[in-house]
Amino acid sequence: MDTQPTPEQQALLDAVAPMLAKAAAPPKEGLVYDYDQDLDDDLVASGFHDLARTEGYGLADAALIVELVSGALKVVEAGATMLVAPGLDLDLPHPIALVADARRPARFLSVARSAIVLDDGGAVALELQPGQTETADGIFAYPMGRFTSPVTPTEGVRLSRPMVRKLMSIWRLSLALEAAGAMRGALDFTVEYVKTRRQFNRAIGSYQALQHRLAERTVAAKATRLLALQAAWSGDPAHAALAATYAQGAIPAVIHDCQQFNGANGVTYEHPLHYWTFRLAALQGELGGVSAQAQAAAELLWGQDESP
Amino acid sequence: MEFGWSEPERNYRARLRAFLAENLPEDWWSEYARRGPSAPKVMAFARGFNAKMVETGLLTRHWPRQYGGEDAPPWEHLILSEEMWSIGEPRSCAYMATNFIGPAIMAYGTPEQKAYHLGRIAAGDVYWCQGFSEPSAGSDLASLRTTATAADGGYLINGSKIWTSYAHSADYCMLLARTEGATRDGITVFLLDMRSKGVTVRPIPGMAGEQDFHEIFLDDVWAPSEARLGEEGSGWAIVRTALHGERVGAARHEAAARAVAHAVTYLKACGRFDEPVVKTRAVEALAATEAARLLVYDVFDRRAKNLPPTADTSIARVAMMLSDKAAANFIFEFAPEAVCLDGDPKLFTQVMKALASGVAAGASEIQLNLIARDHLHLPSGA
Ligand SMILES: Cc1cc2nc3c(=O)[nH]c(=O)nc-3n(C[C@H](O)[C@H](O)[C@H](O)COP(=O)(O)OP(=O)(O)OC[C@H]3O[C@@H](n4cnc5c(N)ncnc54)[C@H](O)[C@@H]3O)c2cc1C
Repeated sequence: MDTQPTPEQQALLDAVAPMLAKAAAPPKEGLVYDYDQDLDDDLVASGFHDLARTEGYGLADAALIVELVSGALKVVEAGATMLVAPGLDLDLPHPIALVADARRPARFLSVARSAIVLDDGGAVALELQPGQTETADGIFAYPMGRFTSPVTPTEGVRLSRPMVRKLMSIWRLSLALEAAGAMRGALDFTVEYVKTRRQFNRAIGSYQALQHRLAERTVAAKATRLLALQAAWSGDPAHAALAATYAQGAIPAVIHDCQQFNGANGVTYEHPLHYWTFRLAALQGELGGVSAQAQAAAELLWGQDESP
Repeated sequence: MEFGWSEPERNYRARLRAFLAENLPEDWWSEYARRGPSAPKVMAFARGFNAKMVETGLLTRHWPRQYGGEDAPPWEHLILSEEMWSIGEPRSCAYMATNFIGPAIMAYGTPEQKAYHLGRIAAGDVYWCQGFSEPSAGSDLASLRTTATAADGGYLINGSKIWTSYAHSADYCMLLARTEGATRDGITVFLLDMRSKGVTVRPIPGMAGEQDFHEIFLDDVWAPSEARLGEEGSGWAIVRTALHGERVGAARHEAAARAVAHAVTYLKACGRFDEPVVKTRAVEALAATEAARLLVYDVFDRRAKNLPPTADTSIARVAMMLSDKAAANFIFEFAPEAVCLDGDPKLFTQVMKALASGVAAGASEIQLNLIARDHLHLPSGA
């Protein structure tokens, strides 16, 4: 048992940190959230996208990077490329969108060059053609997109049943890691804010009502991260489903408290809080939300039938 | 980063389970565990049980060799705690003495105190209780009022203690008393013989376990200087070390996880596990226990690497409390009949344990204060 990154893993994290520091508050127009191409280019150039498939490394190492990147202000697609594709041994052009329902908007679909789409028959992996997707404006702080025309069942490569099970597992893992990162980002930002914002001649962070809620959310954020990392390390689908259940269950209170403690500032686009909270809001409902993950976990842990 | 057990650790757990299978009576859950580790029946049983643990070298494996232990790594100590606490702590209060009272004596005791007490604790035939809390000093422990004044080559101790678990059968008490002033600097630890003249123990009926709570009245109790642990006024430092480990000393996450799993088995047997909402809530409760588990492991990770403890201990403690409550709430919601006295003793034990989980070993709001101050570095109110 060892809950901390190895020195080699820490070296990887230390190599990514400066790339994230470069990513300043992104300019934003209306409700379209930009993709951070610079950060993405940095990650590609340094070979991190292929980490899980590099000799001597695996999903757990890639998971640490995905969690770290997910805490940054700017957004890039990392989970599908760094975890799902290598986990399924698929070669798909980056960025990859994971689409639970082809009729609805999905994260990264506007900028993606490939997608894995769930349908009645399981899932298909496909390369996207120009014009096949469009931007779907919204509040979710990811570049959101939708298909311009229905995805036909014959497009792309159909995944086998075992692959679909693996897909679901790594998808849940990725959403838990992304949630852990975004929770950390939102909380770090809010903790700093309450130290400087003063009311009634005191820093608002000195009020116990705020302290206790921030402390409780910290417990949840730290636990989300560890549960997700354990799932990455073990590759156990039950661990992934548990991590996703915990993450999605913890999200609403993190959003609420961070939103609350930033006051009216937190309800403006000038104040960066929304980059994390709106991402968390998107992750809250991913793959059917907390009860869907919990029921999948229940099947994996205590069910008779093969689980999705 | 590694989230698995090594082979020696797995073997050690298997060895403990085999030991338990061999040494617990068949009616362990219904007649013993259900009553709590402080019940007279359990405390009487524990004397024989602990003797067998000593025989097989299991009681103080985590102690240093020079004190009769095997220098077992902290992870094995955690495994021991998981296996014992989750079946209702058959060692009874011996876990307190081996977890932190013995180690406090190793760290601060005189050669004579070590020679006298450590062997007895390691032999498992001496019971200790912990006399910290007072009627007016709970969370604000440093405000305690029990006094120890110099007299006749020793001290005269006056005052009272409350909520003292195991006091009815204890041979010794790790007692906090004030040797001077009104601050934490005037607090001193005593290794008090409970048979001393002037010690009166009164039980307080409680819910957390049979005969768990007591009041201890101390009327002109004389204790020799040799009963003082460490210097006068060093009590706070000693207690801080002792309590730090103790916040995660009882493996509540494991008990709660097993209770959820058992509740699922129970509900399946009753044909009541098919509803999606039941499955959802079961997994949510289990996720809380696994969250607590990993946060506790995070604390042990530092210990195993010889790093000083941090506010991570409070983070783990809060998560443990939440896991206890999550398991209990799942049981209350979907298997309420199981917590009747003739219901399921495992489920009953969990809901009763969860009652005190946010208060015992330091109230959770105090843990939140510590997280805010020492982990988030939030400013104080003043
Ligand atoms: C089952 C059980 C076994 C125990 N065994 C022992 C034992 O063997 N030996 C022993 O010495 N003690 C024992 N205790 C006592 C235990 O240590 C105390 O109950 C605990 O420290 C809390 O003190 P209190 O009960 O006086 O509550 P209080 O301190 O009065 O607290 C009541 C409430 O007020 C809150 N509160 C207090 N101060 C603050 C603050 N500054 N900020 C925010 N909230 C605050 C608390 O968090 C709590 O919610 C035991 C308790 C239990 C429940």
